[in-house]
Amino acid sequence: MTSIRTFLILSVVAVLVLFNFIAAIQGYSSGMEKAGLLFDEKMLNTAKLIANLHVEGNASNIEHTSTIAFQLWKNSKLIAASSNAPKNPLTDFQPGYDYTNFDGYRWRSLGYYDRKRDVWILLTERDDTRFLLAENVILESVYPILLGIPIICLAIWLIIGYGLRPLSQLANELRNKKTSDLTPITTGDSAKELEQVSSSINSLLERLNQTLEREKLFTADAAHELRTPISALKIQLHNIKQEMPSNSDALKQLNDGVNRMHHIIEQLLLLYRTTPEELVRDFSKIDLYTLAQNNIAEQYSLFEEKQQNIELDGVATEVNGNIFGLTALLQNLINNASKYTPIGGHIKITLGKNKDKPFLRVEDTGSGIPAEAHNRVFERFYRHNNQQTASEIPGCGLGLTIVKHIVELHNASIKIEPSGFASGCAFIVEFNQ
Amino acid sequence: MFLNSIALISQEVLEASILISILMALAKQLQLSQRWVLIALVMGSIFAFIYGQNMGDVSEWFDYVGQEIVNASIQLLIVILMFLATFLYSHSIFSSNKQGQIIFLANAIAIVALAIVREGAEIYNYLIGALVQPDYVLTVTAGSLIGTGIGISIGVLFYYAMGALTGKKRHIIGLVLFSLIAGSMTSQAILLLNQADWLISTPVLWDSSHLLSEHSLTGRLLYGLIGYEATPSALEFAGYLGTALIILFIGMKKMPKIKCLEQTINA
Repeated sequence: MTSIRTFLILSVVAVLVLFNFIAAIQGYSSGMEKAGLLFDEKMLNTAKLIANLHVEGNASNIEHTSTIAFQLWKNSKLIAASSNAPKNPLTDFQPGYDYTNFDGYRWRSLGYYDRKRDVWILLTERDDTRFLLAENVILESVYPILLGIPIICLAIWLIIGYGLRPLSQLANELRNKKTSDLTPITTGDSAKELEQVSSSINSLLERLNQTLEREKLFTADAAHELRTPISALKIQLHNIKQEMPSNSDALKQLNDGVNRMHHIIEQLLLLYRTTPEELVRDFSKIDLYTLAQNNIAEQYSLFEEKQQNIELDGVATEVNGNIFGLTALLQNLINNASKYTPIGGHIKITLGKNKDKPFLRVEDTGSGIPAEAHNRVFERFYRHNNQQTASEIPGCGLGLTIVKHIVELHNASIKIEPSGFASGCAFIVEFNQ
Repeated sequence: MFLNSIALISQEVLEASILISILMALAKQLQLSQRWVLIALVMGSIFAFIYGQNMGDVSEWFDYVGQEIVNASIQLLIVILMFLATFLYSHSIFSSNKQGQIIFLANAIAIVALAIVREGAEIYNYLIGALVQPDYVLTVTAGSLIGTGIGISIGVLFYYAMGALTGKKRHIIGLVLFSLIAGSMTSQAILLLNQADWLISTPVLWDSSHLLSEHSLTGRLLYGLIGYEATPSALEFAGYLGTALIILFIGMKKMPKIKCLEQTINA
């Protein structure tokens, strides 16, 4: 994933550095060229000045700087020279500029002929000195560019960071938003470009909220309204049982169907009753061990019917939670274990603390759940079928969705592991309290 | 000294930064983490420093042509690793298993680290030589910083430009540049082996120095980018062309798979 901020900072800095540095090189090159022309002009002026020297006889000890050497020739005779100049002509008797080598250095040379006095001035200037002098002057204008780059980079980093702040705020708000939170986002004094984005998100959230509310209301109402006819059906079924032979296959199937429908309606009602607001409002200290004992006692007929061995292990384990929610959680997990454990199987419930965190473990000797289905089993209406088909085991695929929902509301986590028995799986709920 | 420093440093930095950019763009296309670059940079810098410090001893090996031989060996090793990188990338070996991804990243780390060892040691030696003259300290430092800035900036812009291209174009442009860099590495290795008299000299094929001197700043940048040489020998040219064609052959062979992979990633 590319960060917009990193992209902007790096690409802007790269473009800036590249063009500034290329400009610096260009400036340096043309500066050096201009400096060369200036030095040449200065040499010409110096040559003209030397031509005006009044020299008598041969003068070869004229004061000079070590970087300049000159000769004054008249009628092919050296009449004056700086003491560092050789006896031979410094350069050809040709007007104009050239280069020459002597005294271990490379020199820029100038031949200048003064017609009025009929003299040749041969003037040389050390090339390395000219170069260094020109370079030092020109580089003085390059150093600020170099020194300024880190400051410019810092400014770009701050400016882009500041400019992208509304976007970061929006991203943070969306990141920190809980999945159940459908309230509108507030981006404060957001940027003009983001107005449309936040307005669209808010409109989407509102529509989603309305849809969910409608769905919740519909399901709850439908489930509630269906309860009465189901109860009536059950009574009628009970009456029919009195009149028909008890081993009637059709009656048994009818009974199973009505029971399944009753279970689905109860689960749907339970799912929509466990809303965050209602649950959190009634949080109190609850002993999970006692709750599990009561739960087992209530559902004991289930285990008896399937001749299952149920074991409760552990100590009193207190958690801060909602009694209704935790009861539903235990009920679903234990019920689930019983449903998927074959006749004569074993179910074990363990309660305790792991690194000061309360935990609940429900394991069985059922067929287990493969790793790839671990996340999917918490989805609504998802039923994992490995060996037994959905029709063989009653259920609607909402039990574990309710469990997950309650777990999240209690700031807990749930995971599935292989059980401690030879087969089956274990559901572990760990409370972060 | 100023322009020389810029030309030399930018050429060396550019060679490494373009290589890093292409490998980073390929790794990004495969949705692999970019942390490998940091590992490669650190490893390469450490070994470049060690190599640079021992360059004197190394140059005495093989009858005083050790530096040429070692540098040529590094270049050729990089080329072989580039063949492997192209093969791994184009054959989507990494896409399905963790082991393939690890091999691809380890290979990328090795390529970048070796390139940095080679270029870094050159820079180290140049700077050590140039900075002993007090008159040139500021000039060389300024030139080196500008050269580094130019090399890295082009690399960064190149990386983002590659990222802006669509999958197939990115693949083709990345592959063509990858092949040119590999070709340049081979021709450099041949030149070094020639200088060490380990290879026979072959005639110069052409002289384009009047059009673009390889000692000019543009010439040096092009040398760093695609291995431009004004007077290539027949053997260097053959090595360049051969290497580039092998990379293109390996890379182009499984083109359709890249499309499939991209569709999978996007999905």
